[in-house]
Amino acid sequence: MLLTSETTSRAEFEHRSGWVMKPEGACKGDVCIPLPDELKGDTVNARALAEAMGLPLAEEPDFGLLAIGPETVGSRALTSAQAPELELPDVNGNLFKLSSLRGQKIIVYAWAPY
Amino acid sequence: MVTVGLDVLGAASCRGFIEAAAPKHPSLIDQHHRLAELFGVINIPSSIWIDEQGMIVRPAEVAPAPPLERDAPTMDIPAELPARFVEILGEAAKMVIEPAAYHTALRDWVEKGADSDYAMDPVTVIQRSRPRSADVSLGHAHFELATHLESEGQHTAAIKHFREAHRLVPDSWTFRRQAWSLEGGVEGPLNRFWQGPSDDNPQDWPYEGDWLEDVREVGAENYNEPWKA
Repeated sequence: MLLTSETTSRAEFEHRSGWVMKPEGACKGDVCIPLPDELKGDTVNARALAEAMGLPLAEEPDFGLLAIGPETVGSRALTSAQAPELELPDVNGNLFKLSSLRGQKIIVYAWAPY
Repeated sequence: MVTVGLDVLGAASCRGFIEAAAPKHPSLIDQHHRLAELFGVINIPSSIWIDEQGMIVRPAEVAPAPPLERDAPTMDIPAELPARFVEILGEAAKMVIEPAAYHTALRDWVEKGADSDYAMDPVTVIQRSRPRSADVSLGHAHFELATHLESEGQHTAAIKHFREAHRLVPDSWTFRRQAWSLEGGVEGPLNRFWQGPSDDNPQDWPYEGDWLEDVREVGAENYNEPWKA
């Protein structure tokens, strides 16, 4: 997830990363990473949170940007077989949530114009 | 069916293709390649199958397109192709695409659901998703910096992070092709497919590999991972 500040809100982190802060730590699917209480507050230091969760952090200091990489739990792209939420715009900018198709079979098909 | 166009240039570059296809299903734009981070997509075309309960039953894999029901939209290709493009088409023709097995599997799953032999259990889904080391994760972070900088008009700054992403995620064709496609190399409709040093200023090419060099290195016939039931 991309950040323009070292401080992020808990809600923002949860929304963007798919991890949910619970009493036992940051959780996704059946996996929970224990966290100290100071990293579970309403605002969190992104650098400290990434370090505590074992998430890599890339920086572009000239533009004040940080990016936190995805988790590597189990050393696989998927931590859980539960489909993550995917929210993307259509060509007119209208946001669409993959979860709105729950109850149907979905094939997500990736293409590119290059 | 949900189609997702992976391109940092966003709706502007995807619109023509989407309008020509006139899809009845949702057709989304993924400027920052969320599909790579969330699902492990490394090439296009790829698919992910998700059942009625929201469980992934097949992770990201090569997904050959079905036969077209009507003629493909034609591109305005110049009558006299530049030499590089003739070579690109020659390599592309060697790529192995086997849609039959994939489409048999897809139809089977649509019909039988969880009873389909092609629907995987959750443990297998996770195991069959792409390997992700700490380096690969860091590469995704650099790629996100790159697409963000690119979309902000900071092309030169973006190149550094695209290069890091390529180094750290060497099996991603989309990370490479995305970056290469932004360099041009020839005017006109082939611009984004050139993906290598220009004939006039080859020394300005900012990446280690390019489309022709990398496809030849791996062998065009190995470009698409064989589909496995």
